[in-house]
Order: sequence, then structure tokens, then C-alpha cells
Amino acid sequence: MARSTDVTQADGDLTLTNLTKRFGDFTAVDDLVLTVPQGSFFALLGPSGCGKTTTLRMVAGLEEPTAGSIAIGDADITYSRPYQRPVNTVFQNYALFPHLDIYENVAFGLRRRKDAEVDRKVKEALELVELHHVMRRKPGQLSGGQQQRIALARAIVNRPAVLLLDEPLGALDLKLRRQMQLELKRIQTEVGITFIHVTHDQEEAMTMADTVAVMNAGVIEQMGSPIDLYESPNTAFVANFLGQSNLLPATVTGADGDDVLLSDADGAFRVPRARVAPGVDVSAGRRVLVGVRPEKIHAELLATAGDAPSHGNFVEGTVASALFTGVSTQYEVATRGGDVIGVFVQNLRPGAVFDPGTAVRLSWDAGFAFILDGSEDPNAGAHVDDEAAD
Amino acid sequence: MSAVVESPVAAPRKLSAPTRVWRWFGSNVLRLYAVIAFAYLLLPVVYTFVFSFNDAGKSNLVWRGFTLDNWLNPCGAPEVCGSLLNSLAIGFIATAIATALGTLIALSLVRYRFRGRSSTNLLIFLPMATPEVVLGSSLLALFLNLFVPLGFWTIVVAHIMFCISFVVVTVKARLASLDPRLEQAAMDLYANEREAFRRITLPLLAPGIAAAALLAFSLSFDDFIITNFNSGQVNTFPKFVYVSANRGIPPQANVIASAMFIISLAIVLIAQLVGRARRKG
Repeated sequence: MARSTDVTQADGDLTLTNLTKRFGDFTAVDDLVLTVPQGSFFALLGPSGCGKTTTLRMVAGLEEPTAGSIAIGDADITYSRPYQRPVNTVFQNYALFPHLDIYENVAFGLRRRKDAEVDRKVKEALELVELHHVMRRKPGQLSGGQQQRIALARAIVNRPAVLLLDEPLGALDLKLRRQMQLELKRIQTEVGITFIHVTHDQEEAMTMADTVAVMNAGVIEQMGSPIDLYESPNTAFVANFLGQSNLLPATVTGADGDDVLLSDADGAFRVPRARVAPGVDVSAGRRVLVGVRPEKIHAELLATAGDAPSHGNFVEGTVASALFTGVSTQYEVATRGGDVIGVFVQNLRPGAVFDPGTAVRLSWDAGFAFILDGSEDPNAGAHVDDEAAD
Repeated sequence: MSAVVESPVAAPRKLSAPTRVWRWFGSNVLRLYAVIAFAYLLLPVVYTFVFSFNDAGKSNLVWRGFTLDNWLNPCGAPEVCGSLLNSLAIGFIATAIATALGTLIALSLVRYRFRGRSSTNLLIFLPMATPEVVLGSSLLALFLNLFVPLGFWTIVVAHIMFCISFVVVTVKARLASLDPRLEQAAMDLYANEREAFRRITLPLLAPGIAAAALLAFSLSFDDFIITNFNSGQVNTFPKFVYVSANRGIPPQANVIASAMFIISLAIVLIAQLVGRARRKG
């Protein structure tokens, strides 16, 4: 039996130190080190089976770590029982108690802790999620979106130090999900509790969280603000999992002031030194990956295009496929050098779509490209299973 | 009443008589079958009920006229009520113990992984699959070898034995459909293990446990074969009916059987009504 400590009053940053969880031979979470500042909205983003849910369950106390420790502020909660920690969870399937009405569901935690103001707090929490009128109904009589909000109210009413959300919007349809994302963000700002949101939906993570940690195979690949992660990915996995990226293998040919010079079969490029991922060697002769986001690329008809841009970051090729999506058109362009580059072009003017077979020139500003380690798989994270199950 | 739906375009106005009969038969054959099936099922019950009002003399085989005497004085015939009380007492005790033990076994089989779990799962089915004659006689041999005097308590032990299997199976079915995350959610909301069980698991399991208890009681109350082997001089209601069948079953037995039927019908009806009211409210 593990040591257990009752620290339901603990408060502060959540710190995971060398947290590891193994199931037999399988390492679900590998030596995780992480600090989540108090009051932040933190997203753990990753594909199914990356260890994000296991991490969450260890914080909740539903899973015991194989090694490492978990602390809130100064209080170590690694081996505390689930009911001894100041942590509440919004479960993936909500896990509302079907035999209790909405009021009693929300009151459950308060009653267990012998709270003196159950009635006021329950009504306030129901007010917060705008569902005070369904107080006396049973969970089965509510819609999915309403159940989701009740699950949130049931957790938040206890004012935990940390609130865990396990794919809470996974079961909702797209429109409702967008609406609930805004709602969650509003509630988090209002109550100021630390939210840890586990999701496989990169858009969901980016729209809501202050800080996103991208998790893959039990480790955190990169952590930062959504803008940082999107604009300056450090690994191929992050570049592909968050949005889309063109990752082109290239060889470093030298340096020119603050720029790294590179070349591949399509020609020569330059990328500012500041856009090189940390730890990547860019001395001459090194193989690297040059990354450019599809929406950062400018496409023009080669026949009517002027002289090649002087900055040198351009390639020529023919349109292989065009996918009209309304807001933009997504092209795949086969370059002369044998690469396939994705390009998103905003539909600014009607009827300006390039047909497949059209010769085009693609160019981009040097500052929009980034350099990753050449030993990485350029397709890592590009086609991961998109299922919600974990 | 659902009639044959006729196409408004092609239907001829007049049908020949055999066609009409055939159509009527075609659209009512299911109803007819249902009536026959119910008649087949309920005829013995109706017979028992009707003959509980028979002004019977020595035997209750021939109708001799209507009387309420049997219903007004159900204990009139010797041993009817004594054996009934025995059956009820045995039923209650065996049900209580079998339900408690069976529920615990079901919980351990569904919730925990342990050595011998799958073989336990199989062994639980064994008493249900074994012929009662075999169970009864081997239990008798066991009691005799251990010099246990036959009587009330050997019947109770025998009944607990065969009821447990049915309780385990019934409760297990309910448990399997119970989301383990509900208990985790309760623990997440500051309920310790005992509170989570008492406030979440047990209430959600209650319908299954109640069904198991009812099943166990009716099995125990009804059992003749195993009881007959292990009862010694003690009389139970089924045993009494069986023994008296030779010299004529007294109409009081019909009264008790009918009353049992009516009571169980009432229980089912009340359960249905309560369930419906709860779903509405």
C-alpha cells in the first residue's frame, strides 16, 4: 500500500517531476518534467496513445505513477488517494451519476466535504453554466451539451486547485464544440482555476489554451504559446501535428550574415539563423529540413509572372491537384526537383483558381521558413489517427 | 383494429368469399397465435384459481359447487399452513444469505483480476447445469456422511447453494453495464471507497440485486426435488402438495397457490407503475 496524504487544501503550481508510467513493457509516460503555473489554461495535445490521458489520470490519482512525483505548490500528492487531492476531473463521457438529479450531482463533492454552503454554491455553479433551470432533472433527460456543462459545474463547484478536462468536447458536434470552447475559456477566466485540458484536437488546444504542450510517445515534444508552437515548431512532429507543413530536405551550403544558405534539387534558399530549431547543426554540408507553412507561400502563374524574386526563396512546378474549400483553395504542386508542396491560397477574387497542370511559381518570405533537424522523418505526425479514443 | 391496407388504385370493389376469409386470416393469424399461446400458458393457473372456490369433499378433482370457505379459512386443511410457513421462512433466510454472498461474488468476478477468476466464472454455472436430482442426492450423501441431522437447516443450506449461482449471474449482468468511471468520478469528488460504494455503486446495482433476490426466493419457494432429498421430517409447501397429490390435494392448497400468483402479479404491476412514474418525474 502506498503512502497517502490528505492535502485537499493545497494550492499553487502543478509540478510533475520525472513522472513515468509503465504498463508491463509499454512506457505510456516517459520521465515527464512539467510545471503548470497556477491559474493558467494548459493544453496537453497529442494523438491517441501518446500518454496524455495517462498523465491526467496520474494527476487525478486514478493511476499510480511507476516513478517520479506530482506536487501542487509544496504539497506532494504523488500517492494521495483521488479524494485526498484538490483536483477535480471532467470525464470524457461526463460520468454523471444517473440516479441522482442535477442538483445532487453538482452537490456531491460539497456534501462529501461537509461544506456549509451547499445550496448557495450549487446554485452559483449552475448559474455559471447557465443551467439552473434543469436542477431537478436527471442526467438522462439532458442533451449532450447540457450534460457536458453539468460535468463542468460538478467539478468547478469544489474550487479545486487544478481542474482536469479529459477530451471534454469529444462527444459534441462541431458547432456545439466551438461554442463550448468559448464557454470554457470564459469560465476559466472567470474562476481563475488552473485548467489542464487533454485533447487530440489541435485547433481546440490552440484556441483555448495559454500554453500548449505537444505530447508524443510518452514525452513532451514542445511546449509554448499556440503562436510560438505554430510559427516556430522545433520538431517535424509538432510542425505536422499542429496544422500542416511542407518539410523539404535540403543541404546547408554556407552562411550569409544572419541567414543560413541552403540548396536542394529545386534551387537555393535562405532562412534566418533565428528560425533554426534549437540544437540543430547548420554548418556547411549538413542535411536539414526546411519547413514552410502552406498558407505562407505565394503562388503565381508562371506564364505571367515577372522576374524571379531577388530573395531567392522560390520554386517552380506544376499544379498536381486543386481542392476548393470555400475560404481558400488547397493546391499540391509538384516541383521540378521532385518535391510535392502544399499551398493554401485565399480566394480573394472569384474564378482565380489554377487548374491542375498549370505551371506556377511558388515563393515565400525567408522569415516565414524554419529549419529542423535533417534526421527527422518529414512525415512524423502528419497522418496520426484522429480518433478521440485514447 | 388494423385492416388490410388496400391500394386505392388497383383494389377491386368485390372480393370472392374465400379470398376475404384468407385475407382476414392472414392479417389476424399472429393475434390468433398469441391467444392460443397465452391460453396454453395460463390454463393451469386459471384451473387452480377456479378450483380454489370448489366446495370440495375428499378430493378436489370434480366441481361440487362454489364456496368462499376455502379462502376464508386457508389453514383449514391439516399441514397446509405449517408447510407454507416453513417454505416462507426457508425462502427468506436462503434468499437473504444467497443474495448477499452472490452479490459479493459477482462484484469480485467483475471488478478484480485474480488467479482462478475464469475457472470460478465457469464453476458458478455448474449448479445451474447439473440436474437437480444429482445435486439433491449428492448433498444428501454429504449430510449423511457428516452426520448432519436432516431438517429445516439442511434445506436452507441446500437452497442457498443453488440460489447463489442465479444471484451471481443476475447481479453480474447488471454490474457489467455499470460504468466503472462513475465510481472513479465519485472518488474524484471526495468520496472515499466506502462512500463511493454506498452512494453510487450500491444504488445503481439495487435493481439487479432486487431482481436476483426475487429470483432466488421464487426458486427456493418452488423447489421440490432437492428439498425432498434433504428435508427429513420437515414439510415444505411443494413437498406437501406433492405428497397429498396421492390422496387428493385440499382446495386450501389452491387458495395459497392462487394467492401467491396474485401477489407476484401485484408486485410486478407495482414495479412497472413506480418505474413509469419515476421516468416521468
